[in-house]
Amino acid sequence: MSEREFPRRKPVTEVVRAELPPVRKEVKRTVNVMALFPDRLIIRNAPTGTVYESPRGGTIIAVDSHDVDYILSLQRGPAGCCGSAGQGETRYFAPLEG
Amino acid sequence: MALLTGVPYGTITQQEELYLEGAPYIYYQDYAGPDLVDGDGFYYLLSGSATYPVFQLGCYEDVSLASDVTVNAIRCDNVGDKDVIQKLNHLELTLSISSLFPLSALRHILRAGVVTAATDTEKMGIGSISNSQYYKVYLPKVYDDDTGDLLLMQLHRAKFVDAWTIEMPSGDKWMVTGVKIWAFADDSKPAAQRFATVIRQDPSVLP
Repeated sequence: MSEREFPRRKPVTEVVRAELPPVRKEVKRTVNVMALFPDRLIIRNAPTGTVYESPRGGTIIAVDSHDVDYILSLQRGPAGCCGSAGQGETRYFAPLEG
Repeated sequence: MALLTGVPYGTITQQEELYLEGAPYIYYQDYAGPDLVDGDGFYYLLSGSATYPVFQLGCYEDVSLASDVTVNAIRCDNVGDKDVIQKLNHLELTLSISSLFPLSALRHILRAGVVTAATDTEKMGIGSISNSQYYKVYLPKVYDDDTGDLLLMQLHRAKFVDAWTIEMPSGDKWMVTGVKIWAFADDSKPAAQRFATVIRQDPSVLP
């Protein structure tokens, strides 16, 4: 039985450490807003495509942070008739304080 | 001399040379909204919130407020009527309105269903009438804009009643006629304000 010669392994002189890129977790942040529209309201045009629904005025809904500016900018027009002096509420949603 | 002028003796309260003109503003709110009471125990004014918003009627005409009273004379056939028994049944506010929108306000007047508002649309059905929906109705009339003198009335427990008609004439505006609001007795208020409260604010005349 002949002796087989195995190639000699080179001594390890350097450790190469592979750096994996940090894992970026997509954290979905939401902001609570309050519906001001007195009846049922459905919003389908939000930037993220999320559909928001409020069954009645005063309902608090959690809105994707990417949609908040859009949601809060929604306004009813035109202005109220006959003596309201611009005091009528035209917004569909209001931010919650705090 | 009383005999010369016809003026009676004693304390006399004269009416003022002051006349009101035009309709008051008309606001209504769900009856479940908060009651506001002043330091003298009078219930009036509304405070709107997201849950219980205050609606303001827009353009309307032919406004009148009337009472419905049962009157039965105490008749004595030998001498005639000796007295009368009166009972206030309800107050009735009638008007015609030409502001139709938004539907979320009109639906209360028509007693229609809940409105669904979505992208570019408002939808509602006309089905059965809710008999458990009541409103507070607030009617302020500022009769002197400079001094802020005003007369206000508040109907505490009211309902839109009776049949309405939407007139759709050619060459003229659409109008909902036959709008009636009945103000019922509200047992949660003091007996003297059971149906309504009337407040006048006029610092130049009142003490």
